[in-house]
Amino acid sequence: MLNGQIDVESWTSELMLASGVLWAAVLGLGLAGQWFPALLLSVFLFHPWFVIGASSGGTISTKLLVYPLGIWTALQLSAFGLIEYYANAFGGSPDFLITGMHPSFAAAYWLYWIGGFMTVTLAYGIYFRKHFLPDGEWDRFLEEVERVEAEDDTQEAADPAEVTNR
Amino acid sequence: MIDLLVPGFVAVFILSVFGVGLYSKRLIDSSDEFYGATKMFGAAVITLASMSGIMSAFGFIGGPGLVYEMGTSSLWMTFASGLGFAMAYWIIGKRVRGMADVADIGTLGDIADERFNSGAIRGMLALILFIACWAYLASQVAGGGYVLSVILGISMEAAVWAVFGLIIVYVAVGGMASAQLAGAYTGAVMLVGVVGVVVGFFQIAGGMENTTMTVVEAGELTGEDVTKAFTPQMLDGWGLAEGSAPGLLLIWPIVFSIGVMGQPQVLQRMFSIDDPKGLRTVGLVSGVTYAVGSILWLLIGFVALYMVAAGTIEPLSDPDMAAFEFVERLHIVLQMIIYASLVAAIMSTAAFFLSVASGAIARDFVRAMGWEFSERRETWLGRAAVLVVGVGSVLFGLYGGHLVAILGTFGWGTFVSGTIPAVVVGLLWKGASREGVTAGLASALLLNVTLLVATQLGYAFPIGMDFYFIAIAVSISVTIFVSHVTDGASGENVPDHVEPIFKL
Repeated sequence: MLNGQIDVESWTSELMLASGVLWAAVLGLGLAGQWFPALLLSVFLFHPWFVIGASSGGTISTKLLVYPLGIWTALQLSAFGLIEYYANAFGGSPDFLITGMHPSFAAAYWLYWIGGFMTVTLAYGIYFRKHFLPDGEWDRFLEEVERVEAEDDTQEAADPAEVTNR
Repeated sequence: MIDLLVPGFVAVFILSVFGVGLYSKRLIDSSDEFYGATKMFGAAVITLASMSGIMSAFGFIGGPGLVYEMGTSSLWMTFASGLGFAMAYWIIGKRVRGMADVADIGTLGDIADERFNSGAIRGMLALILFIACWAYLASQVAGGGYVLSVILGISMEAAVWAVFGLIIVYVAVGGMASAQLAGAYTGAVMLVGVVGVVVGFFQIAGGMENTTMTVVEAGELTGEDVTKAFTPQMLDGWGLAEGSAPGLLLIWPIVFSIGVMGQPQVLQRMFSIDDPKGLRTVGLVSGVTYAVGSILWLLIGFVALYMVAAGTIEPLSDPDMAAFEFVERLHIVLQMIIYASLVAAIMSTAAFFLSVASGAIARDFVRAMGWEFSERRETWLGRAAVLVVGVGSVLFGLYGGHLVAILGTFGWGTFVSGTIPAVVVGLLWKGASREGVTAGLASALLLNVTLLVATQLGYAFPIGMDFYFIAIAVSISVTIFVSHVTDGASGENVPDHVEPIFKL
């Protein structure tokens, strides 16, 4: 199941529209004073752009949707939840520390920050050659650029008076 | 003798940065290379330059000062930024690099113009970039000048003219190539500085557990006319902003993660990479090196809290002195390394923004007006612009008074509100239209200016949100919604030569 490819090209407009709605919704919630629900929703601002940007040749591997995207989402949401929980759990000084930190800050440090690195950043290095920029893709891109240039040159030579859209 | 070691070492370091900047002139053959260092450097240089471009002196001075003032809240800025590098490369890295193979580009305005074939979009983007760069430069002069005067032991004016004068000269000579190469050199020095800070933290505070327990149990302490209240909330995950301005805890994780891809320091470097395979190293390592730099922000802030809570020093009247209080207690060798890192951060950031600001005028504005020059003249125009913008920003930073602080709020968020609609949305989506991006950039300009004026007149946004987030969210939404119902340079009307980008 994780070896599948999902078509992104035909859904790009819908994904971008969703991102526009998400940005507006996060702003609206913030202006309404609902900063924590807005923060939870803001985790999903990354998703539509990631799906489009991480796609290759108009499709994205399902592996990328699980790791890094799915795991990163879970880490971010659990980080925000635990930060909020432990920020309100103690009347004064915390009853215990995690790696020397207030438990609420430890959630920010380990889940949000270090967890974020272990997903979004590490996965970029791991999946770069296999799913993001596979061998030969850049050469195909350059061939396509040359083909379009050649077509433009041919068209201009055939009709020099015509204004191209370049 | 000891008193001269630190300023002497820092002065030699400044001269070495100047030398690296001048050397880069040898690498420039075209105006694209002068303005953008297009396809010029390998992954190692771009990785270090990207890190040093984002980690400004604020990470050494202002950031730790904020930790002293409001606890862990400000760490959301630097934590989020570390994640933002990989986000940026996942989302837009190969398409921005691809534009360097599609057309002759040297600035972000070039990319926007190739994509939308619109002088208006290029002009508005140039204006937004120029305003934000000018604000950054003036802030670097005002804030960095004070820091330089303390380290070098000379007057602020003398320090500013000496250091920024050298920056102006090497950027005028070497353009963006000098900013990239010197940025990589200074970035490497900053990483060495982190080692010094980690050693100093354990030397003074004795580790994280000791710091946490000392701070949360300190209560209220009073020194000479200054009282500092320590509470457990300072060191929980939200810090004191949760009570005073929770809107910051909403916008900082967004603006400083996704917002990294809107920073020219990152976007321009994507097309400076010579081999596209280098995108892997830069995306992976630049975030990690920045995160290592974040340790400065975290540990210097924590150790300042510890020193006051433990009674080592009296409560600080100026939180920005936290870093100096810490460094002055370290071994002379550590002081030399850390102060050199601090100067490195000032120089790398200033050089980059000087290059972008002059490019916005001498290349983007000129081309937006339809004026044409030869490559050679365009390069010399750029050099003249560097001199004018550089001297102008130094004068403004030194003598602009309260205006510098007001304009200083333009910067990170202002960049995001301009570059994401014009470059990120434009390259991600064939459906992004000329009309949509024009509307998005116009709303960004309008909101950045009017909302800043509103805040200066005393208006406060709900839950302490900063105005730039409103400008960012509106400009992105407007770009997308207007693009959905218009078709200029979108869909079937995308310029033919840009089409292959959308298949990458």
